[in-house]
Amino acid sequence: MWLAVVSQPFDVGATVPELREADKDNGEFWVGNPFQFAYTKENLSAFEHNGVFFNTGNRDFLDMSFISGGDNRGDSRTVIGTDINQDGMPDLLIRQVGGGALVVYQNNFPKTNWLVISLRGEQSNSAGIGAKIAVTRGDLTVRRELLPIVNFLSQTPSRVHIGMADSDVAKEITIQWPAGGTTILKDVQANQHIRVYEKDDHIEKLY
Amino acid sequence: MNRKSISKPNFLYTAIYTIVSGLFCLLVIGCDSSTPVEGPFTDTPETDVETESAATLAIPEEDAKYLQDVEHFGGFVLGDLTFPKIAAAIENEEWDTLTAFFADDFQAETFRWSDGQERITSFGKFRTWNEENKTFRMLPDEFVSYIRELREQYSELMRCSIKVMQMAPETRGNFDEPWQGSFKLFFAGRTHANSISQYSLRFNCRIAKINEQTPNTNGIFLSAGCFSAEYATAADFLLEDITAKTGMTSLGLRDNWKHSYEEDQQRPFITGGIYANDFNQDGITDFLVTDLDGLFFYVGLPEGRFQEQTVQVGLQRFENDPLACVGDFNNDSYEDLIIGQSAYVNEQGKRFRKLSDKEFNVELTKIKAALTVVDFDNDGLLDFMEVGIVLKEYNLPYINRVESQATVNYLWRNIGNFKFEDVTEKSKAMGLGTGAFSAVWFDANGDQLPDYMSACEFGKNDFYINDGDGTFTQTDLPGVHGGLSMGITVADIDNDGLGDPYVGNMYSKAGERIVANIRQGLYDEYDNNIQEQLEEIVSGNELYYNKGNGEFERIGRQVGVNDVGWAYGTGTADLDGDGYPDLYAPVGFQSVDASRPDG
Repeated sequence: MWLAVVSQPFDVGATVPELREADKDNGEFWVGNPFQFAYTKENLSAFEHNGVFFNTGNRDFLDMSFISGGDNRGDSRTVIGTDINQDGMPDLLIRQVGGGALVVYQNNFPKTNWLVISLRGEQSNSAGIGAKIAVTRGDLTVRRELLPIVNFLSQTPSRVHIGMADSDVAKEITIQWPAGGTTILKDVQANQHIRVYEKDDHIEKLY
Repeated sequence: MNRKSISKPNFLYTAIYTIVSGLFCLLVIGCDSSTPVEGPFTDTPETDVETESAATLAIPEEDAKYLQDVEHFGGFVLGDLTFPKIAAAIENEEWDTLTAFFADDFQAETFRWSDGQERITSFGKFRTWNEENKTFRMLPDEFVSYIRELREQYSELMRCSIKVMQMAPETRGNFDEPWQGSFKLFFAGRTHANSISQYSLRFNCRIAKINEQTPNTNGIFLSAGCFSAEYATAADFLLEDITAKTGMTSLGLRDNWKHSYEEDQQRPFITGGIYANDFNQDGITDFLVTDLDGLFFYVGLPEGRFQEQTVQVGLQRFENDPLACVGDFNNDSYEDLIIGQSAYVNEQGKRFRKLSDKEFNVELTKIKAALTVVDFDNDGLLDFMEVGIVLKEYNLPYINRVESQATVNYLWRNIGNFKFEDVTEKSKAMGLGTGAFSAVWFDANGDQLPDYMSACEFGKNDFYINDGDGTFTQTDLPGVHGGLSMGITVADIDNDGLGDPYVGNMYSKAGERIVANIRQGLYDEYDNNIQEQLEEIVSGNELYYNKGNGEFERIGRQVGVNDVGWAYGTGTADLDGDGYPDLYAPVGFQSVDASRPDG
């Protein structure tokens, strides 16, 4: 495909001629236009393993694709990370066009403390989409925007997950609502999914 | 803008745009002739692609021929025919066979395993080596022993591969003389200590020559020097495939690896999506799963179980549009749905009801790439954007050209109770038109207003700053091309309060090899910075580190999250619960036969 890209970068419709005979006996093939792959039984970026990268917290990442166990080699299209079994650890749901249409990975990383926060807006939109949430635990303040991400044919839930590591209490939670108000909560227990109300700052425990 | 002419797309798009959309994934459902659903591309001839362009080459034929030659030798002969033999020798512990690949005067430079930088985490251990670490010279037997030491750590070697990264003749055109390049050696498996680990080592190398006899020639390696290495280990795998236990099965969903396609029948590159929601407000995530072969709604139950309730919640199983979005559009706190061109109101968490045209005043465009939700004006009503709407016929270029305005984004402002105002023109948020696939909204510049960035296939990604008065300002991102972008997510990777987008791009090592072999000045007759753009196009995924004030630094390659594969919708999750979001890159385009070479 890339030979076509560099040979005619101005026109994705061009069919680039085969200028040397492919070694078909050994499996080499020629597809003159990348879009023709759809009609062939040839591989294109095939059986690639998905990438999983550990965030060191220092603006750097380490490859943990294989040891994660979540780097399957299907033709993957999208992923959602969210906790589906209420143990506080985000699981992964992968949508693929081949190699398993839907793959659900349970998170078996060592369990940590956690907090899931949903919002109920009053002046703001009802789910608090666009709110900024800062959770101070230990010596770290975890900052999130509540955003339902549409990465590619998927949407993440309208809530934020906070990894609390070994802290079982959030010393302070600050919510900047989209409409402009601020909610400050003190000493919130970890390991629960809460909904915070813009109207009166009250907390509802969901599980 | 003449909305009428573009909101009802002409189905007689040129075949090329159809094929563009078919491959690179706008809406391909109509192209799948085994599923004759209504769609914009159903009546488009599938075979016209070859006739669409007479300009088959933009470069001299001798240069095109040279690139095909050099990729044949470096990519196919060395990468597909020779290196697998080396990997097999390592895997099968045939050390004499491995030794035979090295010339008598071969020299290697490698790291000492006790050096490097170690990082211990809650779930395992990492060690990395780079050019700052001292290397040690080895002769052939010593190098084989070095590799053997790695191999013998594993009681079950699950993966062993050697991939060509770069490869070029030292003298341009002299294939029968030494080549220089680089390769990546990868080991992974279960160790004798019953832990799991992975090694990834990158080497520069010299190869004596590459010709058709190379796969069966001894002494092809003249030298190899390791310039970076990574090691990771954990007691056991950290993610477990539990699909079958959840009640959310793949049954009924299209899987190209299992589906039977006729000769010359197009394989769909999009089969469906997945959309999280909390339909009944119980705090447990529910999922809408869209697919070519039907629609499924799974209600979440405790402990990770799900129950399929599609019909019970008022949806239609035969709906087969892959696009959807979730949002509370009537502000009653219950999340509603848009699927394809229809809106569904959530009736108090009990069921969805499809809205009539009178109730939902938006005529949704059929050919689009994504629907995203946002309250862009912070008025308390959830707005949405249609992303990547096909605007006009165009034979798109791979490289960035302003005149390629082929797609547009429509912004719909919520004025209450499923009534929306088209603010596309007024907002100036249409996008540059280089084939937007998806968009993420986030406050990029810290002014409390949602801005957006989109993944665009054929040029720079869109980045629009929200001015707070209902308008947006198009803002440049660093670089000359954003890569052939397929998907995008955003996460604040360092908790500085600023979101950092991670863009999924098409990537393969073949692309990097080929672009590295382009003759300097090859595109000088054109007025665009083509070569520079091509170098960006093949550089893989990009992580845009947010420096504040709407400025970004591209750090994907620097932090090692770029060269994964042909990526799509990248994702993020704090998998180890340490407060920092980790990254996930779903990759792979078309896999048919693992025994055959890759394209």
